[in-house]
Amino acid sequence: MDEALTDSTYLILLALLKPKHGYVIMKQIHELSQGTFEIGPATMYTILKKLTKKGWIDLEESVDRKKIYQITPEGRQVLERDIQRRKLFYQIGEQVFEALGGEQDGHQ
Amino acid sequence: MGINKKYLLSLGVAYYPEKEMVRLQKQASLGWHFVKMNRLGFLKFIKGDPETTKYAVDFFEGEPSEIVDYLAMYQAGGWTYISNYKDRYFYFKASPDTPAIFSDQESYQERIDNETRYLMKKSILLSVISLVILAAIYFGLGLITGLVFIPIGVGLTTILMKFLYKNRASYYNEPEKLAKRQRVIRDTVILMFVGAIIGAVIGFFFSDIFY
Repeated sequence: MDEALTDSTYLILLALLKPKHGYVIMKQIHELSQGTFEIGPATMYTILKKLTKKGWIDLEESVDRKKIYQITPEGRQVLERDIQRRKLFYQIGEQVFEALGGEQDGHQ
Repeated sequence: MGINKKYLLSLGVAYYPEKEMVRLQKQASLGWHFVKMNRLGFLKFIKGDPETTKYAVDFFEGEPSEIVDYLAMYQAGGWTYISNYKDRYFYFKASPDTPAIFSDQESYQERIDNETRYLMKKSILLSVISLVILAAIYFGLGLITGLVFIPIGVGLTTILMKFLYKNRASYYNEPEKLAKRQRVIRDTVILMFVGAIIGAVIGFFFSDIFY
């Protein structure tokens, strides 16, 4: 089984479903997470480097020589698998709480 | 008037960046604003108004062409670029409520590992260069010392030849006869043996002068 994506990597891959500059990714993650999640610039740079090396994202040079990142088909696959994994964990959590809630109701 | 700049010795940006940043913060609160680290490892400050601010330093291992994008990310994160040390260590400042430049443990660990690898590579390169210089001095000096004693070598060979092939001149009209007596390998071995003894004696007496 593949290793789980960190929250930072997950959000960066989501942001890169549409190509964009590194600093725009940071702003979008702020919006996507409704201000609850921040990725620091040093972490952002380190993760972008790592994902490029893994072939999950790649670079295209833009006119103003600023770098534009975009997700690769492989990166997209990894992201989709992680969404499923996160969904599963979410559902497990819901079920456990529901079962617990029913039990408590029974005692009342 | 009065002094408007000062220098403090860096604690070592590779090993104590966290402590160093707290130091910069304290200096800023006293009105001393960090400007840069110079090549000798001194931190330069200029006098200004006391300021509540925090600092960060990052190790950057990318190409110079990536710096523009790198700095743009810091700006987007609320960090103001101050200066860099040899395009490797970049200093930033921000208001105290700005989130840290690293937001998870994995990426900070990666930065530390990258830096360690970079420092090791650099130190190995330095070591190899030093070794080459050392070897050049050592063998070069030995060779030159040897050249000083060349007359002894030539003289010694001449004496040995005279001893081994007496009356060499008398074979002037029948060199083939002498050729039969000439043993190159045997002579070389004898010369090496005698040479080694003489060399050891010279080395013993002259080592104080030459090294």
